[in-house]
Amino acid sequence: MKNSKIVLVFGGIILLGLILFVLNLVVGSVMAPLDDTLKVLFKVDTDNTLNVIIFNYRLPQALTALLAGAALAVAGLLMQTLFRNPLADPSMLGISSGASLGVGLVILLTGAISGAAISSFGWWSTIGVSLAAFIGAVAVLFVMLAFSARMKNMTTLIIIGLMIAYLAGSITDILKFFSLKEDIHAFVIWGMGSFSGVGTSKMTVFATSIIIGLIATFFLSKNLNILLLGDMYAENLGLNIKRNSVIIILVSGYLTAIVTAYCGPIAFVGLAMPHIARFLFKSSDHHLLIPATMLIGIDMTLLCNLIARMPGLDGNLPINAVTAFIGAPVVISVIMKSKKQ
Amino acid sequence: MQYASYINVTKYNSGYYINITNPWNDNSLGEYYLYPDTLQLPEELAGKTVVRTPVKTSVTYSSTQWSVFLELGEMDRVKGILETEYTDNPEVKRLLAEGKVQDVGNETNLKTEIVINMHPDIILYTPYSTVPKTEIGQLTGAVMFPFADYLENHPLGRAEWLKVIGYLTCREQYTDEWFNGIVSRYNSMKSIYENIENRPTVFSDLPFEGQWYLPGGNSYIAQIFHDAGADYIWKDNTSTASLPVDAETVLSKARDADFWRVMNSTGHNITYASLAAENELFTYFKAYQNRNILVCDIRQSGYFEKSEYEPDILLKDMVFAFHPEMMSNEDYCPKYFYRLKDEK
Repeated sequence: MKNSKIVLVFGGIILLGLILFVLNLVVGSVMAPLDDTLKVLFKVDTDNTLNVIIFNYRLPQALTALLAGAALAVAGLLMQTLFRNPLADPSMLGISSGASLGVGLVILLTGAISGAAISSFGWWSTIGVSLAAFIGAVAVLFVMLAFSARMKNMTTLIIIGLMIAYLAGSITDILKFFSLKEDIHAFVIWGMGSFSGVGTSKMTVFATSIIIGLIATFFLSKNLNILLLGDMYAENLGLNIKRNSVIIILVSGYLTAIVTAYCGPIAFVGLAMPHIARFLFKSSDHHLLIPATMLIGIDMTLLCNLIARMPGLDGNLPINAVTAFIGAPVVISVIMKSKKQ
Repeated sequence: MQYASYINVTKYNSGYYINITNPWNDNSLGEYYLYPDTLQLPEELAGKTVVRTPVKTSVTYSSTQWSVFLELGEMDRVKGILETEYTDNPEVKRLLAEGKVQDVGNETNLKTEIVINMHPDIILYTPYSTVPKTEIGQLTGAVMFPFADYLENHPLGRAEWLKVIGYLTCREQYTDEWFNGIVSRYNSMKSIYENIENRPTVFSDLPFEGQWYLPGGNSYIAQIFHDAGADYIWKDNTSTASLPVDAETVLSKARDADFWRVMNSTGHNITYASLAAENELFTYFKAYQNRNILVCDIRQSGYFEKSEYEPDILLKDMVFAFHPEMMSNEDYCPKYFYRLKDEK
């Protein structure tokens, strides 16, 4: 692909992202005339309710969608390269289930042990939930890595991933059985996915955590490219395969876990976005793929967030339903294309 | 019945005939003949669903049922109750500890074998669909009696279900007087406030992940708001169920509402600071800024067990919040809903 064409495609993706971002701010269940909206967009006036809605409700939601999209998409790319499997993604390999189990342990057990619902612990509940999601996600990732060292067959690995997901899911179900209604309710709602949980109050922590993870991925480009050549070549080129894998796992697990903790387990973004990136840029160079995947992920989640909050709906659709609705056809078309080749 | 829409009771010989209307399709959810166990059963009742009264062994699904037995001093007729982890009632806790009442699980995971072993003659259950519950009744031989109290949309209609327990325990005289007292206290307060000119506006509840579930305009709580002399922001809505509403819609419609009713089920105290930490958006509501949030601590106040039979007190709590100037000579201490004080 020519450089000029690459710039053109990048420009297109960024432009689309900007349009979607503005639409996210302007469109919602409360519809105001466009000129009113434009007026409040450029000054902060907390007496104006539309202003509060745009800056304190829609803006944090759009930012959350944007950061989550970039994080999940790039985490999916890292896993697909590491496992050399086009179907690897947080939900496919059991990582989301691991994170969910971690979150389930915290949300469901606090009630059972202390008699009070998790939401009553305020700040600590957020930290606890994030940490639990991270531990759950990384634990599953390491288990998967151990298996991948033994099994060269990727189908087997995916099956093991699914089994681990079932296992984690059943432990979560058992926990639910012993939990308080309020906690189960909170857990079920969390599981549907939402970009509105972060809000202005937790935005700093969320954004900082995600941006650190995103920056880290840029340093992995070269090693990811080498990995694509195969273990033998990689070792010959002086790459410490084991250490490299651990780093990739930690970064992708970290990103998945943060997003999962704050927004719930969001499916399909991690799986589908890298495919679109490869398809658009016809490249396997991670220097290109990493930023491309992030930007496409951003477009995707902004679009999903827009659809979920469409005017005329009485509330928000669960994000997971929307991402799957858009993501599933993408995955099917990729599979059909690769079969043809 | 005066207020309840789903109970129909007529005198039948020396007993009663009760028909429970199916709340979803106006058919019948069950027909029951209550007949004193000291009398010979009339022959024409062969093949009908008969409950011999007073009932000796019952299982109750909801705390709104056993709380009436408790009030009547007839708790020895209740052998099994559900969801005991949600009650803080000391008397019930004592009975559970002594083994006189047993925990029989919850709605989705009933401890079936324990229930069978109790040989209950009646099981009072909470109906959730048009189809009557029969499986557990067939296993135990108990009469399955649907308690559709929670579907009544008038506060007095809900309270009127206590009479059913009166018929089942042959204490109808007591329950009639009890109910009449509730009605007269409720209506005399309502008559002062329902058409009052100065009506503060009110909205309700907290969102889950950006989504509010508001009481419908024809719901139980909307009726109490109206009777207490307030304007519920969603009063024109015709639904009896809860409405899912996006946070931005709630903010745009209810930002200037005078009062905000909040149900606290967390088991911890809510404060203005904890609300702001939970969601910064809350701080833009006028009710938040003016410290006019009405909180009900569900666990501490025993809301689910008792408030159904104290709609007059619910009403008084609301009136006390909405129209304090009218009650200024009274040193009233609210039981369920109190105005959340500033922590400073």
